[in-house]
Amino acid sequence: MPRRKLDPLPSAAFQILLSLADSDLHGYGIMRQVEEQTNGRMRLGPGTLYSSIQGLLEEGMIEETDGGPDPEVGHERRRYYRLSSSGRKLARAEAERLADLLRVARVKKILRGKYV
Amino acid sequence: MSEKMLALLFRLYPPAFRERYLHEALLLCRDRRRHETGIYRRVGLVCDLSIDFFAGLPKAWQTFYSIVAVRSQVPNTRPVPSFSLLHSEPLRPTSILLGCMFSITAFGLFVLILRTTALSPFESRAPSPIDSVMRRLNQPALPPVQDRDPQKAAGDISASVSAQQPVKSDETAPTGSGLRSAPPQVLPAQAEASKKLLASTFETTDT
Repeated sequence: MPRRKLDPLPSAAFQILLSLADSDLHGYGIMRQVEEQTNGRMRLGPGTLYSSIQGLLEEGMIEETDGGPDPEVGHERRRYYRLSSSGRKLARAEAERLADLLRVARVKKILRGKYV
Repeated sequence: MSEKMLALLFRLYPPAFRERYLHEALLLCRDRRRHETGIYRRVGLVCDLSIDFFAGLPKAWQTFYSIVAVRSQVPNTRPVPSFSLLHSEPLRPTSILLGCMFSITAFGLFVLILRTTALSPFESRAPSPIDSVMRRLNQPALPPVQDRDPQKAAGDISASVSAQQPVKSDETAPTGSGLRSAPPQVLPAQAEASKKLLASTFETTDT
């Protein structure tokens, strides 16, 4: 039952999936990427980040890899996370759902201006 | 927030989660401390970590329980019955000691509260409605004052007061049940007074 726990997809989990779309990242890298892509509105701490990662790992949406140390942040070995194919599908489905919501908001004239 | 403190707080998380992510969480905090310098950013970091720690706690337990539930739903394919172990980690001696101390403290508090609130009010509390009704029933009935002349009434009152005194002293003594054995007997002086009163009322009605 992969969809049971992530349906609806929590916002933190969606942001993690989006952050892993381009490259494999470790925990701190995911946190920084999420902060960047939300313009600093969402900053994941260790509790939220790793509980979301655990949920995504259990559902097979992301995979764990051992990428070795990151020279930017230190010399400790770190676990890296990679987006799986089912995770990419889930992220796409969630993005489409949000796009539908945007379309409805535009039709109802709630949303105006230069939005995609 | 120091790493020791964070490690201590992480003990509130599920054991499997702690075992897997504690090191990574400490690394993340170390990275953030390295990059977020300055007093305001440090204070913000501590607040952020504290809020996030308690916000992530229910989610971690929820994930842990859902994993356990999914594992328990897996059917047993082997022909013999089997048991699945949910926690492989044994209780630590410090946990047992803390548990004992909390139990003893809770029991002591319970006994103390029971003594102060449940037992002592029996000695000093106001009489119950049954007690007050029984006391009123045990009081001797006084004749109406307006039908008598003042001298007789004064004599009657003094007689009734002298008759009531032993009863009153008896009533003030604390009794367990609150019931009186028998109503007080009417003294001869009081009986004579009431006879006179009756005679005077009959005379007034005859005239």
